[in-house]
Amino acid sequence: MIICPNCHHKEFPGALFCSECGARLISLDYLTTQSIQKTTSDMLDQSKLGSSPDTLKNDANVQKPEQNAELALFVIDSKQTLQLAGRTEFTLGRVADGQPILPDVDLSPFEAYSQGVSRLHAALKVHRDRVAIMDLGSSNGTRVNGQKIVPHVDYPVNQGDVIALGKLKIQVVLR
Amino acid sequence: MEFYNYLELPVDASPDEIRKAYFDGAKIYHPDRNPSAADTEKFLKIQNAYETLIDQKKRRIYDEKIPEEVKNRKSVQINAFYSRSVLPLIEGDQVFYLLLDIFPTKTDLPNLMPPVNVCIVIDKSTSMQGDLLEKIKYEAVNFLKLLRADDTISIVVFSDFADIILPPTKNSESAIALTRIQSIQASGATEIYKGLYEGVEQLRSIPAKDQIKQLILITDGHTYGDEELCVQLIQEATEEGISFQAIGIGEEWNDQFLDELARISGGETQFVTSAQEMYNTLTEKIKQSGIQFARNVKIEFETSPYVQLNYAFRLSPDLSSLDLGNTVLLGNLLLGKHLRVIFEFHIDELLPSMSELRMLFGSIKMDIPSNPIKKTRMYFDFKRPISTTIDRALPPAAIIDAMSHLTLYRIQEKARIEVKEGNIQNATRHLHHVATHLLAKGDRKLARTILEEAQNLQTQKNYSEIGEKRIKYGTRSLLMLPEPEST
Repeated sequence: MIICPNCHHKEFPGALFCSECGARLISLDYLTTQSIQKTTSDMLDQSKLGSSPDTLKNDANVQKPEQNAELALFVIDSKQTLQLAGRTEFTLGRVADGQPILPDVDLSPFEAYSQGVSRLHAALKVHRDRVAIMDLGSSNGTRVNGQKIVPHVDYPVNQGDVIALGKLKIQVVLR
Repeated sequence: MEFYNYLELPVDASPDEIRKAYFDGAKIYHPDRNPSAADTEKFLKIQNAYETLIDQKKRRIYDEKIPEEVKNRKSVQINAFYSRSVLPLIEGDQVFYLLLDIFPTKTDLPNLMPPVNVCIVIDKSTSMQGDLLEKIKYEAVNFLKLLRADDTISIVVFSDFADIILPPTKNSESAIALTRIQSIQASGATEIYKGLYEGVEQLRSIPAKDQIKQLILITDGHTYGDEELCVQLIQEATEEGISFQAIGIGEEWNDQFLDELARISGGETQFVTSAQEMYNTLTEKIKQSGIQFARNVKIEFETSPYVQLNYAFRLSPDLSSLDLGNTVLLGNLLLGKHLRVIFEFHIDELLPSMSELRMLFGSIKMDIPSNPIKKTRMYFDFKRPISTTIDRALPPAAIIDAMSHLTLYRIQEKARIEVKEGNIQNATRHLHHVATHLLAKGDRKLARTILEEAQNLQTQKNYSEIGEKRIKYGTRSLLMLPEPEST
């Protein structure tokens, strides 16, 4: 069974579109159901917890200790590493004049414009030891290991995966 | 060659088929059953043909006289597209799509096309008064121009009774035709059966069997109580080689019913809202019948016990969902156009011991009036290998495109059923989904119509008649895609 990432309706493998909401299913065909089942609301609750270090510590004392994975991005062309820390969600994009919402990670030093990176291109979400990427409806799309992902849907990434924002390739480094 | 045509068989018919065709013919034309002289003559022809073809020795001698090029005439090509090239061996059931693309290999043979006989059946009930009828009168002269020298046109108008305005008439006699058309006056109620019956009779009165016969119904109202008779009539007419198309105007006509009629006959129903649109559609339909290459394209198939047919939809040239069964009427094949049908199959859980699935096998039959032997039959056998490794290649673009739009049409149909059942909440949700996708595709007008209807549902608990049709035919028209590249 595949589960529609949009409305959670169950479809048989081989279905191309969700018969309930019409969402395209094909690029998700061979994902594990586990990662798709996670709803965005779960994510948001966790990020609220994570954004305040105090509550996280308190929680850690009560429950079993848990820590978000350390995440770094390796920009393949320019061989530079970007350390990401202190949040559970990072938006990736490039800063342009007159832009109301700025991305957390500005990729313009890496020729983001000519590589086809949108101003708000994608978001990386960290939850415990898992990292997911979501395309924010970018013009040129996001690929994970060469496979185009559906916009506005979380897509799990692992250590060493190559994310392409437009043509800009970035490798995920997890610790 | 004529022997095969008498029995309505393809040249490669098996002895069993010859026997069956003979008995079927005898049931209709045998003198014991049917004393008319013409039918008796027909029966003698059938008997004569049967006696030759059923005898292997005689048949061989007869077949030798048929030129090779007639026997091996490849005038139609069939391409199949699969949603997966390899079936994955996975737990549980799966879905599979098959897109058939059928097209004539010759593209430009207008001289060889047999004459076309069009019969237009017009609703002249009171509601047609004004623009609509005026437009028909005004443009009549242009319809006549569409005809070639040997084509005929006939016009039947109906309200609570039918009136033959024009018996089958050739273009050259158009002066009389015009005055007759001008005399149409709107009055009375809508009784579709009476109009259709006269229309079919007009086409039946044309003796030539291998000519194209096209019935076009134009109506704006509901018919009451004679639906079953209509279905029966259209079924018979289709068997006799008459094609049927329908045009529904405005909000009040019964789209489910006309769609049903169109589906039986392999045609389609068009929804129009203005006199101009109606005129354009009618012109289009008449032109289409002029390039009809083959009719009654039928697929007969058997599936593996693991495979069931879920859904079938014709994407081109006319849009319509198709009946499910082991024989599916696909419709007509037009010169220079593709007949494209998409099938959705459900596949049960496969066994690890299987290495190949014979999904679908059978034949596609059609009548090609311009061929010396009318019936043509082609065999197909669609098999897919089964493998434990999952094939990550994307399905062909033609299937993805078709399904992306067909899915919206089906969700809309679902919403419609839910409204009938009173499940307003689900219907609204489904409509919202459809609207979201339309907005993403940039079709704001249709999206707005759908959102308005969704709001309407909240207050009225039902669609507005016009909105219901706009949504249905609007989403359906999304499927009108450019022709796929032939491979």
